[in-house]
Amino acid sequence: MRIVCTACSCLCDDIVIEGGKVYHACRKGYNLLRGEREVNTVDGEKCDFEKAVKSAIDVFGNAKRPLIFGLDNVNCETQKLALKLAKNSGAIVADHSTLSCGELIKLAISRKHATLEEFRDRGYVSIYWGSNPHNGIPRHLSRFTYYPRSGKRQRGYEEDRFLVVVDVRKSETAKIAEKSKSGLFIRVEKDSDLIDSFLKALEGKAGKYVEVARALKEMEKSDLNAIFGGSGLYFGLNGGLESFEGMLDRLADLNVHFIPANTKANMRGFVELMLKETGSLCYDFGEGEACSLKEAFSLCDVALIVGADPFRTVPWTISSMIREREVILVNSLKSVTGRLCGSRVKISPEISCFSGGTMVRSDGVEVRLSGGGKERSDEAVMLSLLNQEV
Amino acid sequence: MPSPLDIYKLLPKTNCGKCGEKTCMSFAFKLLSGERKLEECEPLFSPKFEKNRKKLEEMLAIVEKAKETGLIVNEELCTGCANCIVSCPVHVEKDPYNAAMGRGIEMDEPILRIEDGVVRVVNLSLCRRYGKERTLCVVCRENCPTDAISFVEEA
Amino acid sequence: MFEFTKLMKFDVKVVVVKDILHEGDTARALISRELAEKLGVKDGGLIRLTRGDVSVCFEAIVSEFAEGVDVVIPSGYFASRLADEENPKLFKAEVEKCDKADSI
Repeated sequence: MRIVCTACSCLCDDIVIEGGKVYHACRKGYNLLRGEREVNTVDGEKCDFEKAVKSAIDVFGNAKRPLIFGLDNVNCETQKLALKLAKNSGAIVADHSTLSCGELIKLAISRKHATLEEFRDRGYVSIYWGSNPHNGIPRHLSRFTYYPRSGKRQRGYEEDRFLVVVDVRKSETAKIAEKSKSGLFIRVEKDSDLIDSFLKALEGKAGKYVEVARALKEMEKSDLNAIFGGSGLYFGLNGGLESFEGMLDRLADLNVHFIPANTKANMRGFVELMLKETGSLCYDFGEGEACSLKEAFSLCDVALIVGADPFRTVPWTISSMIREREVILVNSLKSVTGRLCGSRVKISPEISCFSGGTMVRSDGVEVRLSGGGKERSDEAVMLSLLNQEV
Repeated sequence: MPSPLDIYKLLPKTNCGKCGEKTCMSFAFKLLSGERKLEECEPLFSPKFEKNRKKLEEMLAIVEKAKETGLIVNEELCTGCANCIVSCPVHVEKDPYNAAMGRGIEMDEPILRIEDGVVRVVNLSLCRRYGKERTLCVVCRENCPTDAISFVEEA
Repeated sequence: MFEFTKLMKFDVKVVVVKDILHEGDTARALISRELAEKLGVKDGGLIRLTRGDVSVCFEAIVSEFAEGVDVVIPSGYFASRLADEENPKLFKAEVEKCDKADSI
């Protein structure tokens, strides 16, 4: 059986499951496919899927101020239903994008950029800025950027690619760049200083980071280069996204595209949908206005968590608030939130890899998922909540 | 992989010569290359060295595994990124439209393949380091940032 | 013998990263060689990080991947306990030696 992996935003479409073994999936993908499954429960008692969904309908139906959180690991169809449910119930909707790459995805949506396949076939300089793909999106280098021999880049990393890594520490990806004769690791303290160095180098002057001159020289050799920005870039900019955008404008002459390096499988799909429907990344349909993630968690009385583990991914000062709320947890795999939070209802749907529908990869390309049986999928749960019937 | 010094430290270090080697260090080297067996060190089987002998047996089990395959993958250090697979020159030549392009490898009997989230050695006989016209290729190891791959010669 | 390093406490730069190999139920953190020497902690030793009124004890792994900062924590439950709302990726915390690593 061939499937699309939904463990990260690479959405690898070459995964084979055969004879009980999983082929070509990285450790993240394997952990998703073979991780310990969550058990359907209501008030701690094991039950079947239908009963758990029925209880979820009751709990959600009694909510005065519901929160729907997560959604960046589920398909676009589930996200759309969740927004419909939020509109109907006056819920607050949020994912992890305000804590990671949401603003960078917005930036990428507003600019024209290549797809990852186009980059694989033509791209030369890859700059990973505030991103360590080796752990977040493990096959990004081998499938799309530094290693593949494809299209115009048949000599691969040996001669046809150039890797630049910008980070505050020596990451695994930085180690590859540092070791390679066709690579460069720039260890930054302040990202704004690096932006300044790029701008100065474009005018032939030296800034704090003199290495950028070499990166620019390499960029001149190609008609396609890209900056892959991760959450480290967003937080490193410390609100200075405009200056980064200004730098991108100046680098456009060197064919530098900006592509987000978000890790969550369908964060881009969520951001695209939220921008279209609400104009913001975290929105309170009850009040008809955008809000912060902290407000979202503090204002709600019922939290519907879908495909997320906030005790692992959201600062405790925010996520711990749901311990005082009624929680409906929809997650295929066991989670820390499921273990430590006294959830009223836990629903274990089918793993998103088999749920069918579509997800949007980090470069904006829609990828069709394997499977399609809506029974017991995230989509089926959301549809039941929307229609208030199992 | 243990080094000769790791092994030497656990031997009696008396240079008694009963094994046929002049020194314990030389015995350590030969244990590692497989030319000598642990049983040839008589003093090691006295109760005094029982703890050391057990440790040595564990160490040499890893070496045995290495000899079967020629290279060792420390699965605990592997993230399944596939850098080793896409950079391997043999894969590039024999599977230009899959492995070389970063897709899941599809050639019959590949040298390496990602199975259950980590890289596994499938068929070492194609590796350029082995066979008749061997070359000192280190590409897979050099492109593994977590040092999950090592070769038996480096022991 | 009395260990003076047990009394040492100072501020360190902490980065939260994705780390598939070290995330899990036991709190583990990568520390730079410099910090290990300064604290007198060996590979596998234990450190406590404190931010405000929250403390987490980690098993320390001396690693090249903490070069450039002092401590690298895999994202997950333990990182979320310490994380700063404004910048959950990078913050300062106080470090000292401790006796037992936290687990979930």
